[in-house]
Amino acid sequence: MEEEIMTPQDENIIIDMKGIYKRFYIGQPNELEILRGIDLRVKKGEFLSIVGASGSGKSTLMNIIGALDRATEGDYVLDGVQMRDVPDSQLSSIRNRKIGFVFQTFNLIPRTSALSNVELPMLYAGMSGGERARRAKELLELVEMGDRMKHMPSELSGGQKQRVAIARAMANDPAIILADEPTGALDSATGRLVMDLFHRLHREQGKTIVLITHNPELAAETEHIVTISDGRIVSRQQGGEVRAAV
Amino acid sequence: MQLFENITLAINGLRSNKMRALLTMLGIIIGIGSVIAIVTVGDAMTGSVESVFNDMGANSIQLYISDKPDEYGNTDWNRPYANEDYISQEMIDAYLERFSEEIAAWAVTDSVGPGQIAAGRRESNVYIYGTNAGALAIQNIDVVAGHDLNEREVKGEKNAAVVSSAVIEKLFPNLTPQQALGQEVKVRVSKGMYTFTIVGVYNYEVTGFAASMTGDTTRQMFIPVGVAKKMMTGDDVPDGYYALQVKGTSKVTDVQKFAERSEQFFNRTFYRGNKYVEIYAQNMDSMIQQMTGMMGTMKLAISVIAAISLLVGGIGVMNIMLVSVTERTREIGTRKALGAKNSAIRVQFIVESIIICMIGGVIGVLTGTTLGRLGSVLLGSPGWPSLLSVFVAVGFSMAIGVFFGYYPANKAAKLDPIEALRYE
Repeated sequence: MEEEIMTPQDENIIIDMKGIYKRFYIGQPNELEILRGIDLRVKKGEFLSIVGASGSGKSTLMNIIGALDRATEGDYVLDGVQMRDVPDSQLSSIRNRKIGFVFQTFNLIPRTSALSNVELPMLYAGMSGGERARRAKELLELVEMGDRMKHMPSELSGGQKQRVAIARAMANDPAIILADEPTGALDSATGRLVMDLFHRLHREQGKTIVLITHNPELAAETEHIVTISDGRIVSRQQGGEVRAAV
Repeated sequence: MQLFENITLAINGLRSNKMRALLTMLGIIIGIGSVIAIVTVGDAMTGSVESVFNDMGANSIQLYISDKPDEYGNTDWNRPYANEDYISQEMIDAYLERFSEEIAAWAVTDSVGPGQIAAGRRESNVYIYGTNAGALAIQNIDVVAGHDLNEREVKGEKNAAVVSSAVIEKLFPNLTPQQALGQEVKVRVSKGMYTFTIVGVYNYEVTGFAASMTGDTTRQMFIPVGVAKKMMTGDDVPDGYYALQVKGTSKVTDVQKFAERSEQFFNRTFYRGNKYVEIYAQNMDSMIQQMTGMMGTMKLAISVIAAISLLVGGIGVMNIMLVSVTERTREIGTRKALGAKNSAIRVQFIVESIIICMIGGVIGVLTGTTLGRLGSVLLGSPGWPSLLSVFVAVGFSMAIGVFFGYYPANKAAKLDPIEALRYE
């Protein structure tokens, strides 16, 4: 992504969405409008949650934010890159450099050590082997998994897997960490630890984190809570209640 | 790009599913293995036959009597040969005179058949041939003690015999071949008992596949052809010979021409009036060509079978790769989310397919080498597969990997990441 298309704007804004629409089955009788004019701005270093019931359109919004999908209509500028101008073949590079995905089901590559899993985004970025291993170790130590680097995913607990996945998401120092129900598959105690890790990354590393969840309690911990319903943003509130208690 | 990682990943994947990997490779293993085995055995056999024929002399020819086709091109296979059909001594004498410059040696052979040779209480089985003087040299039979049957013994129809050192060892365990010369032996054939004097001992060994063609040469016994004719059973023992073997002198430069001219001489001079029989000449070169041609056909047939096996094997690989792509849909989705380009996914799966096929190819080469070695040793002409055939085999299995891996790999590369991540 050398030919990034910079737009003259505030460089502190990581996500800038204006009038985003997403329609499926366009022109067919079963045409479906999932997103109906989303305006969303996320500043650098913000910890924001997007909440909504299932079917509200939050997954579709996440896919567009994560460069897995494109909006049918509207402007989306991600970290200074006008997404409309990015060709399909370059979307993988955008994901690789600007987005760090954390999934509900961890999605570690099976039969591949924790270290190699963390190295993967750097491998796709074309980083050299030595540099990759060095950074992957650092990141695993950051998430307190330094003593499990050689372990296979099958040898790790759920919480440990998610910590490795978070380290992997940080690999290429992305503009956003995009976490989709990261505690959904964990028990509450382990989920708590994972949330604490996000808070720590946000506080200490200044990471921009977008958390997608249907759980209002988790959302309440974040700085901003964006509630989405029926394809529209219905509210944007200040959060941070529980966080203050940590 | 990321080649090493892809190879490690593919091998890890195969290791975690050994049985499936082995079954998938089976088609490739069988295909490559059978080609290597057959080529090894075929090459060893051809090489052995060629070397034997070359030993016999590159400028040797054989003259046979053969059926002459009638005006419709048919031959009567059932008609027995008459006495005048055979090559007579008079014909040979005329031929020798006419081609005296070009003939170094000649041989006729008449088979008496099996018999027992005895000295005192010791016995040995032999197969008795009548030959002319100087015939053994042309057949590459090496007389180590005494002498080849000479003109005096053959013309005078003496009861002289040349036997192998193996037979001497059996009959006279305490005597060397040299000491055995002049010993009298009894020879029993179906017609009766005869007494022979040993005048020569040969030490003749052809190893390998050629031995099975020329018979067990350690048990042959050579006697003057005139004596042999008397020992043969049946009322109609012909005066002449079925075949004549001729070795050319250094004056023979074109052995093919020599064979043709010899054939013409016999046919024009002696067989013009014969309605049923003519002479057919063959040189060693054409025999070798026949032999290698036969081997070539066999190799081709096996190669076709192997190609079908490889095709089936390749389809098996494609099938398992499709299964693998489906099983790993989520993994593919994750990789794409992490920034893998379509090409990276494609390369990953093609490398995996190549690895499966190459491991199959290597196992096939090892299996084929073992079988080929075993087969060629059993046939008596030990050989190894050529380096070229090994490289071609491994290279070909790689090509199968690319060819049959491309479609599944492309399918994986084109998966929609959102769908793939959602796949259960």
